[in-house]
Amino acid sequence: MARRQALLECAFLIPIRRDRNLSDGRLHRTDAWTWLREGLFQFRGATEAKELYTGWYVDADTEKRVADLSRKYYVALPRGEIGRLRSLLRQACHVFRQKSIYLSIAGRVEFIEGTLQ
Amino acid sequence: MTRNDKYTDLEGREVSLTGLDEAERKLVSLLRRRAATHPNWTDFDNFWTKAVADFYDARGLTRKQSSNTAVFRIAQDLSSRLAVRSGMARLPDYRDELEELIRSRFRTRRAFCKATGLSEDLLSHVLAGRKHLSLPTLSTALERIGYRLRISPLPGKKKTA
Repeated sequence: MARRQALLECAFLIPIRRDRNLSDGRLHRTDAWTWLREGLFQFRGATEAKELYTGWYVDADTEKRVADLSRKYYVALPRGEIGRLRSLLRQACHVFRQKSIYLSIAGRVEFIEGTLQ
Repeated sequence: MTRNDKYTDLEGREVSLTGLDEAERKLVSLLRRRAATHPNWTDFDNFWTKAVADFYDARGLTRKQSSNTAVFRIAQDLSSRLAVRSGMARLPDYRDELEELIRSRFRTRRAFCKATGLSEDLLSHVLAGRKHLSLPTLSTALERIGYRLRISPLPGKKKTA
């Protein structure tokens, strides 16, 4: 019997609004979510958490506390595919107008930043 | 094309259903029923992505191929409708169209402003949602670069006489 590849749980948060400092703080356009779903569809599976997540962080540029509301996604990936997810999230920073995106890989947290701002 | 042979998406684009086989049509009906009876956006997303993936995986399609199907596009659109209805997403407006135009044709705001005669300061406020452009200002600016404003039906709304 073939051994299944070990999978790592990757979870990331996408705020439901554009970054107020970087952009205009408005809700995302429907086509931004369409883009993300299409990107995630290329992986073998993904799950969206039913509830929204409330959080806050201190904006490094303004030093002000920013509250946000996010959708949370889970994707189980073999280690070798995590680079693809990071790449998708780098693009997501632009599509969703975020300075960075919170990504947790098997409990280890990193902040993915877009390449252009 | 009859009403049953096409699906009109939120932005008024038509998706032809004529090439769909019986099983694909059944899947579209299932997704439409599901969106109507279970309007929670997240629930629907989790449902349709699995249903469409399972359906086309069983037919040996790659995920890339599956995401180019009419069924996938319809499912995406049903999801977008639920997102808008629940107040979690919005349809593009004229500011988005201006941004798109700047990105695709001018690359920089400065180049766009030079061509249209708009001030960079005003454009920055408009794109940030702090100010609006008046209709005459916007019309004149667009005319200078070969564009015009037009009235189009609001997606997803019934037109009244």
